[in-house]
Amino acid sequence: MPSIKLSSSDGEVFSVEVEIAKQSNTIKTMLEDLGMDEEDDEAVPLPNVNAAILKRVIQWCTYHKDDPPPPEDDENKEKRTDDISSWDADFLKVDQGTLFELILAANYLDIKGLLDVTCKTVANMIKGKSPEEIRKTFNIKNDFTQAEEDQVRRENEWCEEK
Amino acid sequence: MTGTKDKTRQRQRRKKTSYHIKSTNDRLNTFTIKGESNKSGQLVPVASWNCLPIEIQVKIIHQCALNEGHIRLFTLANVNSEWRRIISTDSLWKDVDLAKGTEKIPERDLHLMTIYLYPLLDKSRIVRFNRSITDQNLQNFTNSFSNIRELIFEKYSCLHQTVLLQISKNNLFDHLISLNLTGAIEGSISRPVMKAFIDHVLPKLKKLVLSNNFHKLDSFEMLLEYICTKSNKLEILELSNCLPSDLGSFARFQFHLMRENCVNLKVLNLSNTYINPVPSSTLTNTGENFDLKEFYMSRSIHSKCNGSEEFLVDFIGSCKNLEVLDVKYLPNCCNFDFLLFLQTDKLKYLCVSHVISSIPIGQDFAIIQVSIAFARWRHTLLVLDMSQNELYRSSWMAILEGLGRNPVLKELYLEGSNITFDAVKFALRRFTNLECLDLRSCNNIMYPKLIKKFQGESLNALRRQF
Repeated sequence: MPSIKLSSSDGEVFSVEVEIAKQSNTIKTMLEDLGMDEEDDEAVPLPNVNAAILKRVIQWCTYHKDDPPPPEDDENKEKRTDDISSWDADFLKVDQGTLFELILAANYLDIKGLLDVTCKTVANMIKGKSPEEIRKTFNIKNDFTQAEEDQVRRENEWCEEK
Repeated sequence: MTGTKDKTRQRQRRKKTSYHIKSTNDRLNTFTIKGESNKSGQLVPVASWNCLPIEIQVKIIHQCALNEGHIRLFTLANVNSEWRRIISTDSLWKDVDLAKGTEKIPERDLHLMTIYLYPLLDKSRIVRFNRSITDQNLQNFTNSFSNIRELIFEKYSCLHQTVLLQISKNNLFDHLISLNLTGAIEGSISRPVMKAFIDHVLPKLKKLVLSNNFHKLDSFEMLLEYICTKSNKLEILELSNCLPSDLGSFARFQFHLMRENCVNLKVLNLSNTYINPVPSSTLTNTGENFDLKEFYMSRSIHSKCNGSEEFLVDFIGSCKNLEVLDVKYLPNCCNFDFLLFLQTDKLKYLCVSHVISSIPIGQDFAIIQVSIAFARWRHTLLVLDMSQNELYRSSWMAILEGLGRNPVLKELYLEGSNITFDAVKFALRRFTNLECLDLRSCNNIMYPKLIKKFQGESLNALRRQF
């Protein structure tokens, strides 16, 4: 199995099968654009992904290497979040910081499947929560002035749970 | 020589990589500011919601709308000013689901909903409603915008038939091409309302779903007649459960005209809607341009009607791209020979259950033919439903043999049929791709343990036994 080396932001080098690494469109494009071949010894630098996260990303890609390519976003198709596989759900039982870093890594490396499932996980965390609970969960600052807040509340009164 | 090449390549690569770093969002760099130490004392960044690029935040909020309906976005707008901005992103309002989460809004707040929500719907292309929409607020809705391409009223809406009149009003819904009103109309649709709908809306539509509504025979026949003669744009037509059997009336169905005119029709569903197929005496057209992909007519023809097979072959026999055929309860058939006259070699799903209810007499000569019919579909047929059929043992074997070795068949339903144990054994040995085998109520199989539905692991276990 041909493999390539990936170097994390903190300098750790991982050897990964090319087929697994190619789930990342960013890496795939790099390989194609630069015509890298297998015996190439130099590691591909990934300056936005640290070793801990890269390790997890590789773990995810290894498990999903035989998946069919993800379908293009179809506006007509209804997507819901309960279709997270049990393996993915277990894989994403991580602290919030790691989850967001996985999103950033999936976004940077352009791995659609991983980005979808991590975003769905965050959406599930929002499910059923009040604005105050959401702020608390994600450590988001409420930047509304009292007047603005009153206005927003007035506008949205009708859809609040009674 | 190669060394120089390598170096150039490396240089190129570095160039490329630095480009990649630049192109990622500036927000990426902000998360390194705060951090915590890991075991080895290195600083590892901690990412948070605020580190996410805006398009990712939009993606997550979009997912929230899919989960909990678009009404939920108004609650999310209260988080902070940034969330409030995200909520009004155009892309979130392309396909709008107002069915989920709207049941709990009290009637008196619905008019507020129209004020705040409808401006956002200005760019929407698809809108999904449920019973929270009433005739009154639909009026506001129809006056607001014209970009909607697809309008969906989910089951159990309680709309008055005048909804069709509203949609039919001139200059409204100019871009509407798809209308789904399944089970949404309370009471029946009268002739004048149907007439307005036929004149103003139907000619624009590519998709029409009027299933599960109660129709009066005359207005329904008018609709069907118009479709058969003039609706050449329609691609999907679902009219199932429109004239249930207990009414005892049949809609005149000039299928030759449909075959000639509806050249874009791909999906036709007439299940549970009683039709009376009327051939045309004047037509010379052979239906070459009629190209259905899916045809459903389970329980569409009265059990006293003769010639249902002839109708079927005449109507869809020439559809070369037919993939789905459901003719459950096709009446008065004594064999499956009609399958031979279907020109399709792309069939994926075939339901011929409840067709042959007593062992036919003197049909031995037909056996080879049945085998030929099924042989054509061994590389395409994924689901075969032959439940509740009584066939000769040799006919069963001919059908199974026709499918050959290792057909792609995944699901085989034989529930309540008279299939025998050796035929099942034969199928199990040959059909290696099978994932589901339904043998419930197959009382000709002498082993009670086998008379059930096998799926996944239980099917594998069964296979190992033979």
